[in-house]
Amino acid sequence: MKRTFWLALIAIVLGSILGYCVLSFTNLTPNTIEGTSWKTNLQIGKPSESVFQKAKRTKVGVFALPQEEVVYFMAVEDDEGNTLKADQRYEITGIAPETNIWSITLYDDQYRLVQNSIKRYHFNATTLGVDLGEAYSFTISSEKAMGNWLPAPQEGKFVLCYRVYQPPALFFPIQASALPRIRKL
Amino acid sequence: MKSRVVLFILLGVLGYWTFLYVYPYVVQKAVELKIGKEKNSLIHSKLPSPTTPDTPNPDFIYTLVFYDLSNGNLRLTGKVPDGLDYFSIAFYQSNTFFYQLLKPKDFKEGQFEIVLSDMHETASSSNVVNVVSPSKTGTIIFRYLCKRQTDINYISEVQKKSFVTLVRNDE
Repeated sequence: MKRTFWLALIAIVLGSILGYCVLSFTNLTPNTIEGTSWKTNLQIGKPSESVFQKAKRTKVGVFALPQEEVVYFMAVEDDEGNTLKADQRYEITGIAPETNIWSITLYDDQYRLVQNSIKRYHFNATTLGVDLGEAYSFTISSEKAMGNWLPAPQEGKFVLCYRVYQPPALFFPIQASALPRIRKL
Repeated sequence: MKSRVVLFILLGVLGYWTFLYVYPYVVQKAVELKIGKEKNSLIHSKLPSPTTPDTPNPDFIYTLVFYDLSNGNLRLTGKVPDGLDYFSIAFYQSNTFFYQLLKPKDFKEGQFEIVLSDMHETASSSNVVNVVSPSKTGTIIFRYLCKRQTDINYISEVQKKSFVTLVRNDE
């Protein structure tokens, strides 16, 4: 009887550990935008959102808003499918969406903003100086770069988050052409 | 022996799904402990920095309330900022899941007055917005878009004009 109890306890603990590992080490996000490395969850706040999706969302971005208010895209890889790393240089290019409130933010692999000398953690329409529908570009690297430069961490991996607030109806269904490109230089 | 293996696998699966179900509640508690303020009070933040946890948006200044409706309803009052491109008040359950969003169009005369309760009530005035929480506890997040440096002081002034009071059940 005692042995069965311990076996049962071990089974539950192992199941919980598996749950934690799946949440921590998988990039399972329900919607990958074909032709890009951006992933998003269009089920936020909807009854169709699964228990796993909810738990994963809580881990990556707690207190999210529903898709009608903001669409969050996350990228952990460049357009070639290679992991975003601090020791590489990347060029981000895109077209400003038809909303004034959008941004591309860089986080370390713990989803924290990256300490840097110029205290720049992201780019948006104001900091890039672009209007609706205009093209923009900037460089991501740990070493200082010319022009629009978004500092990467000194080492390790990093994550990009593209937020589009109050997305216009035309934004859906989301097309690859509406999302920024991430090109390794 | 075979039945024990089946039981072991079933309990493992149960542990897996229980973890996924419980995890958001744990995150909520962890956030509350990290911020470490009492319930039913306004917590004003500055612009996010590298020490800010949980994927903050550096464009926003936040005000948080961790609420507990066990002893009564919550009344939130304050000024709706008129010089910002974005302002919203979002409500989340005790497991961090979103359930309601209020924006300037939901309020009148540049002021907001919200009564948060865990049961349906009739508003005492047309200027009061009633919000029904699916759980006794949860979180309210005010998001102020800070586009310019000059917005910081303005937002700080607006934050000071916000108040939260607990209307006790016996009052």
